Amino acid sequence: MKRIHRRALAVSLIVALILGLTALYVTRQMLDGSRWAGFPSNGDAFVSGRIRTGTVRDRDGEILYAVRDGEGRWAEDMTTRVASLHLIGDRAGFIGSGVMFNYAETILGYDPVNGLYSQDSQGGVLNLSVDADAQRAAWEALDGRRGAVIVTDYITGEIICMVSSPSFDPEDPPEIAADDTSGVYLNRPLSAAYTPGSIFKLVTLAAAIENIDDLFERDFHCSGSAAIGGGKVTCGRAHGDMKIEDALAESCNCTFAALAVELGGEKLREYADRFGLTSRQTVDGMRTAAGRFDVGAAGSLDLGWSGAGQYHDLVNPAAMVRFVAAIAGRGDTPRLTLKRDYTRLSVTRDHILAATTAEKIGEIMEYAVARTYGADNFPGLKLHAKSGTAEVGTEKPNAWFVGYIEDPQHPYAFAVCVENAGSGASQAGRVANAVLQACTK
Amino acid sequence: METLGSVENMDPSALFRASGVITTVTRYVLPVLAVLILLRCAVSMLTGKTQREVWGWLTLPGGAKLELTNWENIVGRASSADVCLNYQTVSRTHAALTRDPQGRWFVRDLRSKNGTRLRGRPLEGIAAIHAGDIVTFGKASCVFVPSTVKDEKAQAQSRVRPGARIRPGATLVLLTEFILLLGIQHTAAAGEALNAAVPASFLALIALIWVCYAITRSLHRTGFEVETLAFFLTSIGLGVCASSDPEGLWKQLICLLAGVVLYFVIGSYLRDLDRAKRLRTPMAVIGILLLLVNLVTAKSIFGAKNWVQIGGISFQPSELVKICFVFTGAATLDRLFAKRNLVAFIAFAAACVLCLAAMSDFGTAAVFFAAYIVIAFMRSGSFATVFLSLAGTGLGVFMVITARPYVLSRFAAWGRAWEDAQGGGFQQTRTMAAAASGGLFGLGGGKGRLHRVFAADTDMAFGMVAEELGLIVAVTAILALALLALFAVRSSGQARSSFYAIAACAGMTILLTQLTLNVFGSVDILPFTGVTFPFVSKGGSSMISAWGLLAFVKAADARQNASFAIPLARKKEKKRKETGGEEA
Repeated sequence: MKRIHRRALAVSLIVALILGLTALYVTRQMLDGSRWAGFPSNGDAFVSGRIRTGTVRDRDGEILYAVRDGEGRWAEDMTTRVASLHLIGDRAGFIGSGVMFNYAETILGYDPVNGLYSQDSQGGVLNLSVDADAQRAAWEALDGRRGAVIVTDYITGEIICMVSSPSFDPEDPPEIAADDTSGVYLNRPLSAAYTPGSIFKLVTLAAAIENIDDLFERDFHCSGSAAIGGGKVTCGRAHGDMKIEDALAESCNCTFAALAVELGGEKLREYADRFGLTSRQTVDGMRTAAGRFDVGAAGSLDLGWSGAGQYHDLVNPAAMVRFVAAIAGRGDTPRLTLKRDYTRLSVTRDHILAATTAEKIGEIMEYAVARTYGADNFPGLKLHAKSGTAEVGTEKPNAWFVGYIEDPQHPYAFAVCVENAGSGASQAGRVANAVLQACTK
Repeated sequence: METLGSVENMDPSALFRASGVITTVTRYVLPVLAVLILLRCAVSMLTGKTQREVWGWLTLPGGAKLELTNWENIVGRASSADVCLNYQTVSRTHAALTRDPQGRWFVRDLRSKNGTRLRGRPLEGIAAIHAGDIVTFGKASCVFVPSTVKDEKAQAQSRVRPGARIRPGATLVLLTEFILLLGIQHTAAAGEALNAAVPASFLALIALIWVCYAITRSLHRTGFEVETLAFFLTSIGLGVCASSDPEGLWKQLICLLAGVVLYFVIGSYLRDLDRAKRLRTPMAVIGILLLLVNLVTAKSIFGAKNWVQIGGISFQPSELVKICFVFTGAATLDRLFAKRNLVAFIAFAAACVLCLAAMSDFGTAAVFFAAYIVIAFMRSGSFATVFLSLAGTGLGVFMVITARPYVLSRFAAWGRAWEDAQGGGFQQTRTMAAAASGGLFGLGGGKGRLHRVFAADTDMAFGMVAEELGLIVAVTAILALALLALFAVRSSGQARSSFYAIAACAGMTILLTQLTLNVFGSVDILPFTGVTFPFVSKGGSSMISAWGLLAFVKAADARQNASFAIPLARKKEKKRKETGGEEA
C-alpha cells in the first residue's frame, strides 16, 4: 500500500497543475480584466452596441454622453452632439474610434475588485481632455465642409479638440447608404491621411537646417518656376530674392524643391520617418492611420515635388500635430491622450527633433505669421504657423493650417485640414483661429 | 388588502432597488462563507496526525512487533515495502500478506529469491495463514499475529473520529447560509418574472443536504466533508441553472437526487471488497455496450454524437461509462501480482477512447485518457507504460488532427481567442469578459448576462460563476475539487485495499480533468473542448456521474467512523473455523 500511496502522488501533480493554471488565470484577469470587460460583445458592458452605464464629460465637466435609467443620451445641445460624434461613437457602433468602445472600462467604472458592479448603477465617469466649446467652434467654423481639426496641449499631450466632418446627430441618425463614399463614419483626425502640401515644407526645412551649413546665409531666388529633373516646378508668383525665412513664409515651391533635390530623397525620408509621419501613432490605445512618403528618383521632378509636400506624400492630422508639438516643445513631443488625468505625475515624451532646430523652425513659423498670414487675423494669439494648399487632382485643393501658440495657460498645437476648400492660409487658417479663440477663452 | 395593494402599486424600479440592496449586502458575504466552508473542510481532511488502522503483527525473534496497517501488505527489504525486513536473505519485494473482508489472512510469495516458508513448509501460490503461524521470509522467521475482534474494538475506540476538531454540523450551517443567500439573490434578481422553482429548488437542496447528514449520523458516521464540498459545488451549479434556465431547475433537482442516491448505492456496494471486485468484468462489458449503443443510435447534438434519447429523456451514456471505467481499472494487490500485465485494461481503455473519438467527443476522450494514465501508473508503477501511452496517443491525436480539419480549427483559435473573437474565440472571449465583469465579488446571483450565450451554463459555467458570484467563489469552486483530490491521495495511503486507493484516485482524476478542460478551455489557456464542470455545469447525466464517482473517494476514507462506505469494526469472529485448511 505504501507503493500505491506513492504512485497516487501522480494525482497531486494534476492538482499542482490546476493550481498553477488558476494562478495564471487570476493574474491575467487582474492585468487584462479591464480590456476584457470593455469588450463590445460583453453583455454586462453593452446592450445592442450601446454602453450600459456611465458618463462621459469634457474637461470642464460638461456632459457629452450619459446613461441614465438604462438609456444612453448624447449631449443636450445638438451642435455638441454632431461635433463630438466621432469622439464619442454612434449608436450603431460603426464609428470604431469612439471613446464609448475604446474607453469602455473607464466609462463603466471597471475596477479589478468590483468588476463592473456599480452600487448606484451609475457606472463610472470618463473625463475627457477635450473642450466642448472648442468642439462646437470647430464644427461651426468648418461650416459643413469636410475636414479634420485636432488641437493638443504640447506639454501634456492632452487632446483639446478633435472634430471630424461630415457628421450627423447621433440621437437622430440619418439613413446612410451602404455605398456612401463621404466617409461619414471615419474619424478623420485619427484615421485619415491627406496630401500635406506646403505644410510638409516644415520637414524639408528641418532636414535643411541640420544638413546645409550655410542655409541661413544663402540667397534664394524665385522666378516663378524652376527647371528640375527635366520638368518644371512652379510657384503662384515670382517671389524674387529671398532668405530661407522668406522662402518658408512665402511657401516658395522652387526653393523647397531645390532643397529637396540637394538633400536627396533618402535624407528627406529619414526625417519624415523620424518625425513619425510615415508610421502609425497611438492615442492611448488607438492607432492612427499611417502617412506616406515615396522618394522620387534622385534629382527628379518627383523628388522636388515630394519635398514641397506633393507627389505621393500623405500625412495623418494627429501625426502632424504630434510633429508640430515637437517644434513647440524644443524637440520633445508628449504622447497623445484623450483622458483628463488629474493625478498624472509625469508625461512621457518622445524626443524627435534637436532643440536648436525646433527653435529655429519655430522662429520662422512666427515670422511667417507676421509676414504672410497676418497677426491681425489671429487676435490675441502668439501664433507660429504654416499653411498648406494641397493639390488633389482636379478638385479644389485641400486647405491645411498647422502650428502652435505661445501661451503658458494654453500651450496648444493644432492641425486643421479642410477638404477642397482652397487656400490653406485663408480657409483652414480661419477655422484654426475660431478653434484657438474658443480654446483660450 | 392594504399591504397587498401597496406591493402592487410599488414602482418597478423600487423592486429593482430592493434587489440592488440585497446584492450590495450579500455579495461580500457569499465569498466569505465559501472560503470558510473550504477552509473548514481542508483542515478537517488534510491536517491532523494519520492514525493508521492496525490489522495484525509480525513478531521477530528479537521481540520486535511489526504492524500490518492495511489489508494488503508487501513484506520485503525495500523501503517502499509495507513491512520492511532489512535482512540480506529477504528480497526487496518478497511476499504479500492480505486480509479479506471476513478477517481471513493469506500469504503469497512474490517470486522472491530465497522463497517463503509457512510453518516450515515452502510456500507455493497462496495460502491461508492463522494466528501463531511461523512464516519465514528467506531466513527471517516471524510469528504472525492477526488482530482479534477485541483488538479491533479497542482500536475503534481509541482512534480519533473526524468531526471532533471541526464539527461537520457547523460547516453545514455555513453552507446552509450560503445557499439561502444565493437563493435570496436569485429570487430578488428575478423580480416579477420569478419562477417559483427558483426559491423552491434552493430550499429543496438545503433539505436534501440535511437529510443526507441525518442518514450519515444515524449510521454512526461523522465524516461529512466530501459530501459538504460536493453540495457546495452543487449549490453553485443550482445558481447557474437558476440564471440560465429556471424551468430546468426541477429536472436538475431530480438528477441531483438520482446522483445522491447513486452515491449512496455505490458507496454501500463498495463496503464489501469481494463484491466490488466481482463487478469488474460486468462493468467493463456494460461500459463497452453503452458506448456501442451510443455509437449506433446516437444523434448528434452540438457537434458531438454523445447523446441518446430514450422515451423523451436524453442522456449521455459516456457519463455513466466513467463509473464503469473506474470499476474496471481498480485492482487489488492480489490481482496486481497475479496478473502483472495491463493488456486487458489497456484494450478496454483503448476501446472506450476510440468509441468517444468516433463520436467526435474529444473532450471526454481526453478525460478517459487521463484516468487511464493514472490507473496504469498506479497499477504498474512504470513510467515506461505512461510514456509509451502518451507517445502512442500523441501520434493518434496528430492523425486525428490532420484527418479532420474541423478539429484543427478548434486548436487554431487556442491562445488567440481575442484575435478571432467572433469566430473560433467566440465562447472564450465572452467567458473572459463576463468573468472580468464580475470582479472579485460578482454582480450578484441572477444578475449576469453570460447565460444568454449558447451553452454558457455547461461549457462556460466557470465564466457564469465568476460573473455572478465573483472570482473568489469561482476559484473556491476549483479549490473544492482540488481538495477532494488531495484527500483521495491522502486516503490512498490508509485505504484498506489498493482497489479503493486506485478507484478513488481514478475517480478524482476524471473529475479533475473535466474541471481543467472546462475552466481553462473556456478562458483560452487550454483548447476549448466543451466538457462539463463537475457538479456545477447544468446537465443531468453529468451530475449523476459526478456523484457516482465521488462514492469511490468515500470508500477510500479509512478514518475511524468516517465513511458509510466502510464497515465498522467486526462484531464477532466469523468463519474462522471453516477455513482451517491449508489452502484457500
